[in-house]
Amino acid sequence: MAAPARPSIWPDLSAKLVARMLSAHAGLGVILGALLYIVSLSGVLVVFHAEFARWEQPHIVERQSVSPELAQSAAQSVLDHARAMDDTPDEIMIFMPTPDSPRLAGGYDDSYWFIDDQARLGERIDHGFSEFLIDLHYYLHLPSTLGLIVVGLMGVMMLALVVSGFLAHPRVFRDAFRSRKPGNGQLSLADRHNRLSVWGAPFHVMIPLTGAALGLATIVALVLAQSEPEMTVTDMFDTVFGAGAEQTAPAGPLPDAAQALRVVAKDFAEDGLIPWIIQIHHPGEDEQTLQILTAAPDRLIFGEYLQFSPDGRFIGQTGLENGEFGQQAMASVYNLHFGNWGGAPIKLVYVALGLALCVVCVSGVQLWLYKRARKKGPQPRLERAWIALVWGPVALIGLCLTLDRVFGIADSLLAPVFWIGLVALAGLSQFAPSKAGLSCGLKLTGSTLLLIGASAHFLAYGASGYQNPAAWGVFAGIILSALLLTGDALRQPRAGVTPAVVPGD
Amino acid sequence: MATSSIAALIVGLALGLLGLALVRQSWLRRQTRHTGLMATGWSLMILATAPLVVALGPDLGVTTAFMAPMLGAIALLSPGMIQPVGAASNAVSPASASRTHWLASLRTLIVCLLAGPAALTVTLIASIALLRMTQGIGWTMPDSLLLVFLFAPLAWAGLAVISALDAPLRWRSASLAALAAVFAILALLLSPSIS
Repeated sequence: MAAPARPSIWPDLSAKLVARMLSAHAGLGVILGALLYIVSLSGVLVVFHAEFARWEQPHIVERQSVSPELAQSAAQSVLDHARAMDDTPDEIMIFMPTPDSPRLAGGYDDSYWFIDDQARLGERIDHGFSEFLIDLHYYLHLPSTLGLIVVGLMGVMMLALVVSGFLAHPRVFRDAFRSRKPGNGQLSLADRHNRLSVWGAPFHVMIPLTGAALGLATIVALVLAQSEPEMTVTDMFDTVFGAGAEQTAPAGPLPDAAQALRVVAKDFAEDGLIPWIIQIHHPGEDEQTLQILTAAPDRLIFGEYLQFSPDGRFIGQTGLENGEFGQQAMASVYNLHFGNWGGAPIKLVYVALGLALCVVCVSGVQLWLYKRARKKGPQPRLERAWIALVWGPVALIGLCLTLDRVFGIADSLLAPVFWIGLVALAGLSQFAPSKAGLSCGLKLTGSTLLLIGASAHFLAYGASGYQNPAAWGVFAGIILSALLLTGDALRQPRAGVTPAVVPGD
Repeated sequence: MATSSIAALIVGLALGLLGLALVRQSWLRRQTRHTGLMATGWSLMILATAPLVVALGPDLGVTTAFMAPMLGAIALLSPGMIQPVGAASNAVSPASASRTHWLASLRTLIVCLLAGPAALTVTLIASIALLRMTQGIGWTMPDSLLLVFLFAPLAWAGLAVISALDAPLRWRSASLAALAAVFAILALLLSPSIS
């Protein structure tokens, strides 16, 4: 005879509330599932955006540091170039080598070049593919402010899904380790969805919260500024990120960035700050100013702004490193969101957790499809469209990689190719003879395109052109992804009764 | 990294993973007495934060304390997750109660408006009230802004959930309107902080 059940220590939620939450959870998830998945998938790739950029131009000579004199000469070279082109830039920037991007570069407006040991402007920076990925994740390729708000909205809805998900599944913590045997269809898929949701919860809360905070900051600040007299959005952000250097110099030679760099090395190296971006406003003109953004590789903050007088004396710092708690915390949001704080191991952790988030997004919608099929009968159109929306982006990212690397099409065409391609795939998927075939075909197409793009890039530069470990890492990552996709496609059950969209299917 | 920091890092990771192992044990023994095991497990995971903060600093330490058990648990569960999912039952239940299609679409549209623009409006009004309140009690502007920037997505998410609940639309709309009114009154009562 079974022992009497022990009273549970877990609080019980009313069945009515649970049912309502489940309805809210499903409603929000289904409406936004595809976009949430695309934002999550692109987020996984963007974790490696610096490495993608180094891979795209793998032959650029890399260095761990440059002398202050070379940095000063680089700034002068950029200004000389601007004057030769009759440009009057508002600001020139020199990018110093950092652990993430150990290259010397500089420029103004939309024009940036790598700079050699003689401070000569070299090859233009051309990161078409990594910028395509970044724009996809930051803005969904919409105009920047609107895109930020829409992606911020995605973050909000993801948070709403986490909240409603936990309230809709009162047993989810009790069953934190339950994993029913694979092959049990909907149950094992639900286990996959729920277990990854529970154990990934801190990540699933942190990522959309920081993402939404970044995305919505502009609109929230705009409204707050309207409600506060004599305060603009700029004033508001300046209280956190500073207003830049205040001491200005008259028209003439550039401010002494070399001296400022010596001060950074002498006085701030102990705090773990290293020079990252030299910013000279109104270079060579009246009221020119000098500010150096430093990176802080041992902290979560993205860096600290240091202001200098025109002759390179230290004036002050903004306080991201040691100021108000609010300043330090806000300066940490970006790195926390993008996993840019602990080198390659943390990036790999973010990729693993990000892929888990993709699985949660996809399995959530697939569970809804299962339930809908049980209630209303098979939904072949919906299921095919969903397969196209899940595996289509993978294939289309492969296509964009190939178009960019093999055919060198204009960077501005990559976004239309992706979105028009996705709509076309969702439409054409209706004519696929089987769901399993559609899924398998998209995976194999994606795999092939990734292989073509990566191989073409490798052949173009050759082994000797791959002059940095990041380039080899990205190349290996693309090849590995292509092989995993192929393996997944080949082991997929042929008699696919269900939509084969969850990785592993 | 100093030897003491490496030792603290190892201790922190060990405590976190031991805590996770105890929580799993408590789950395996869930049919019997398991509360103590579970409480100890969670306590160890929280306790692991201290040595990790010593090793990595406050920001990276707390972040790592969250991540180590997450990864450990996902690794524990992963063997069952990489297997293909089998076929689902194709049992078809009778269609649910009929509702005219256009009415359902209209309802969905209203819910979207409630969860989107309406919930955002309430959130923004609440954000103004929150900024004025924190400024009123002497917080610095960066601290106030941090709170508001983190509050806004959370509040919007909560209101979106309320908007999407399977409850009468009039109740959901009334809830949002009432919240907007409360926050608006609060914001008006609290004077602007910056002059």
